[in-house]
Amino acid sequence: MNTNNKSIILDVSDLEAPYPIMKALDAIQELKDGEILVFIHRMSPCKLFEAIERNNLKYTIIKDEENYFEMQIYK
Amino acid sequence: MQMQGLSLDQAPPYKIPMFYYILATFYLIAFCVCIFIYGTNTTNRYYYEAIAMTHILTLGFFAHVMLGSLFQMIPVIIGVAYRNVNIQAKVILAFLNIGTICFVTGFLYSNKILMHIASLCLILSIVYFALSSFFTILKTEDKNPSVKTFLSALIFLILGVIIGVISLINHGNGFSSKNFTDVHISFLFFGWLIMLISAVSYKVIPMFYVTKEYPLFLKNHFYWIVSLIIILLSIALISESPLIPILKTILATLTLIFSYTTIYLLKNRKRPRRDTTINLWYFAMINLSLASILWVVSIWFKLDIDFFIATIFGLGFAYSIINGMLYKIVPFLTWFHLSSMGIFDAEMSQVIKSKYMKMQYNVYLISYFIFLLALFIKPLIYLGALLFLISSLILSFNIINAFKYYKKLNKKTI
Repeated sequence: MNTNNKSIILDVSDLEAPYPIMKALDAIQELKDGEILVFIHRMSPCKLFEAIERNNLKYTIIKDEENYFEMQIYK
Repeated sequence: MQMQGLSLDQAPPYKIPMFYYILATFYLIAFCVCIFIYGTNTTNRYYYEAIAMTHILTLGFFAHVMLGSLFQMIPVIIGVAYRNVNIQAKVILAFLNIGTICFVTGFLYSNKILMHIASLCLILSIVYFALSSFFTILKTEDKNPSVKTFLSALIFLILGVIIGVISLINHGNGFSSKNFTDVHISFLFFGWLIMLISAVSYKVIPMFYVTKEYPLFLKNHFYWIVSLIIILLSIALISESPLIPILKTILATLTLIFSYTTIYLLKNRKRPRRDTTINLWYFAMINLSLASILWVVSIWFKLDIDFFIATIFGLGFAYSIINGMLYKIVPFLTWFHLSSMGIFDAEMSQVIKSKYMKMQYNVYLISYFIFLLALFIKPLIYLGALLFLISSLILSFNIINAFKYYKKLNKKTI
């Protein structure tokens, strides 16, 4: 992952299930080489990890706290 | 590149939980019919008819919805799959149904053989389910508070059912005492029901209602404190200790803390939209609080209001929360399975139409208050049963329609 990559912020922390995962799936579908999807939610999205792995993407968890979760998803 | 959506690898087939739910609604209808026939004659909770009717609700409705939901929820929210879920779920469903039917008819017709068949089938189905779930959950590496609460609930389910079955087998031989039945009730109502609802709430409330997480203190300590008090209470009940009122009061206070926290979280949620499910959650938690307070009052002031508290707890709290969960789980499940198969036309709001949910909720609400009034004005029980029957028929219609919605969209892609 290059630090000069373009970041796309997806904050789903105000959305109820299943919209956070739906938005995330749409966003990773659009993700291009060199782009980083910054995914912000109020909890760890367990089903999203499977989708990331199934699509051969990579992720880095930035923060996993009570009521705040942030990770970066990239190719 | 074709992107892949959600994985169905760990989830059981859609029809499995749905069969449990649809059958559960049929038991609700049977419950209403029994009230029509036996309702006015059951003035004591130890009457055979009262035991039969209570168990149509607990085994027929509550257990069916809970077991069906756990088959689906444990793989999704805990991330571990049941082994051979298809076969396990079908065998458990078969034994649970034979057990429930034999139990109810055994008590209604005072038939010992049917009671013994019920004992065997219920042990085989529920204890097997609990052990299978326990060891499935145990496989997860993340032993978070929700997981520990689930595990504690399952242990109490096993103990509660075994104690219930021992009472049933030895029924009429002088072994089964009132105190022993009270241990069965406290294990299943507090150890299983309240504990399971708390474990599910820790996951479901923040996820579906955009609330903050439950306080860590509650998540970390509620399950073991409740477990400890239930065990102490059961010892006190069997030994007829003078500590019983104190332990019951602590248990009621803990329950009150849980219900108040849930109401507080829901009240302060980020997106305060009202729908039928949220109304059912509020209604359930208000009734749980009320039942807890009345229980303490009845203990210390020696009031004989068992039936009143049981109605508030059973129909006001337990029924309402399970009804609310069904209306959240069924649309979610339908959407989840359809979208995992690449069918993106599915709309959660279309699975069960909001107007039918609202209609069912309103009829249920009126029936509930009429049931409460019927405790003082007996003949009103028939009106309560009629309205509850209408509500149950609408619930059944809603769940069956959700199944049809799934089949319709699924067929489109074949």
